[in-house]
Amino acid sequence: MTRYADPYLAGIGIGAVLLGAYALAGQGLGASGAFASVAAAFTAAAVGTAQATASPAVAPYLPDGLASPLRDWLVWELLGVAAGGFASAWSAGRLAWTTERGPRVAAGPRLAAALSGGVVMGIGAKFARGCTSGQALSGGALLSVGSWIFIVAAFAAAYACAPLARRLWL
Amino acid sequence: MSATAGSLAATLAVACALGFAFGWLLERAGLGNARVLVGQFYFANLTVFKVLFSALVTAMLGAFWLDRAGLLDLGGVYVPETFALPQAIGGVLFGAGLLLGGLCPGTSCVAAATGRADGVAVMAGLVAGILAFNFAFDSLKQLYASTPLGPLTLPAVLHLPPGVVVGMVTVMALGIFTAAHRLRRES
Amino acid sequence: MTLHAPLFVAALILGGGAAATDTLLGGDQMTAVALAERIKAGQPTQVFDLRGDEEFHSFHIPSAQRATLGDLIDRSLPRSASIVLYGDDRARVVQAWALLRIRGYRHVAYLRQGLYEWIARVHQPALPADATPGERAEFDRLAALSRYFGGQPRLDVPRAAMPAGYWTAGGDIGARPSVETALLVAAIRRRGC
Repeated sequence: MTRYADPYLAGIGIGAVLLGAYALAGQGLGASGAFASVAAAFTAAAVGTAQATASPAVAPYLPDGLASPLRDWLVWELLGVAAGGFASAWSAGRLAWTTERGPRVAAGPRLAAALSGGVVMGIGAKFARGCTSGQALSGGALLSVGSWIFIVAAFAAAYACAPLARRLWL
Repeated sequence: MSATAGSLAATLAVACALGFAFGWLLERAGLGNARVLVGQFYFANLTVFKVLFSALVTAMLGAFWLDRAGLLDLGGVYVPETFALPQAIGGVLFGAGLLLGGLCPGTSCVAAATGRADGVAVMAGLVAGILAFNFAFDSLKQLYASTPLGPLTLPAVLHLPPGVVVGMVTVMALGIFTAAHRLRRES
Repeated sequence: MTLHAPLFVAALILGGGAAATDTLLGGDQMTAVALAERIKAGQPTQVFDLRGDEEFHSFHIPSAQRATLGDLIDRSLPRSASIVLYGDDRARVVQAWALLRIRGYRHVAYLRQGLYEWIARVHQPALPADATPGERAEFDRLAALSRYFGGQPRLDVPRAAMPAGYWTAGGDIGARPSVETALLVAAIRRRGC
């Protein structure tokens, strides 16, 4: 199994990719928006497109009805992220069917925590109009005030919650 | 932008290619692994910080200089709008959720793609959280839309030229990298 | 990791350079709105358009004269003259600025974002559909200025279509390629200005 790459070099590489996004697509990278797109499609599938687009929260993600995620820039970006992650892990011998967890917690509780964490992040990302990729990284590099507010708030909250979750990770 | 199938396909292919590089680099740095990511908040490593801020500084410096050299038209780049209160609240929720789940939206895809069940769980949670938000939107929308400040940037708020703010952010990041390096040496 | 040190130094140079260039050159940049206010207030200003003949005659900032770099080498102007330059090739504009400074003129400024800024901020100021009260007050001020120059303020512009700022200090817009400016100028001429 190969060692992890130097984080600074990886970061510089990601910064270059982000610059490429600005240049080629007129926007930065993102992630949570793709999840919102998929969630909107699920909603449309469950209650019908008409009712789904009646909701102001869902409507912006359904410009093309049920097929909207297939035409969403962020969705295709994330598909690429998954593919790239897979390819890198494969070439480094890091593919594994497993659950990453702290030494004192079993897989079940860990997965429950992961699910809950995802739910809370999903709500947070909606309020913040983005996540670490879209706001912190892409918006931060453009010096957007809201993005920097997000960065400070997110890091502060994560550090503050860490002592409460020691059993999960340490 | 033309809406022909060809140009849409090209745009989405570019998105996919950029994503591939992004995902590859995230995994290389170890951020596809929740334990590495969370290590930041237990002072076991500073990978999240190092990757995030070197990426941010690289893109920021690159954008500044390419714009100044006239090589890149960044007037056409979308600057996100600021909504101070909801973004602060969202940040707090996001940070808490990140600590609990161990992965952010982007890295959860990397984790899932490399076989990690916790990656899949985070992805499912994200969709559920967004669905919950949408469901409750009527009662949330006032908070959600509060404190709109438009596409506000740090130079505008600090009344400083953009280059000065770029320099300040760079020095701040380099300062923290140096401090981290010194602390590592001593520990 | 041996690459860290040179990368650190490179970042420091690029970041420090960014701060330095904006501090040194910043004072010599003028916003289109500031220029418009100068002209309206009747403060004597020599405005030079560094673009081509055709582009100049298509549309130019009121009171501007066309000039090439060659013209600026020879032209004699009052020493204390206030000179403002604009063009669509930023490199040429900065060259012209440097040229005039070397010739000894003290008050030389340039529009960092060229004619596009004039069009988007003075000629056609836009009010977003979901404007904040601050934006509304700013727009009222700009609309009055725009009408003085025979411009056409735009109302109810969707947020996505607003000229978005890129690291704008005070809400200016980023530079646009001359192609977009040309299209805008063509649109103005079709509507009649």
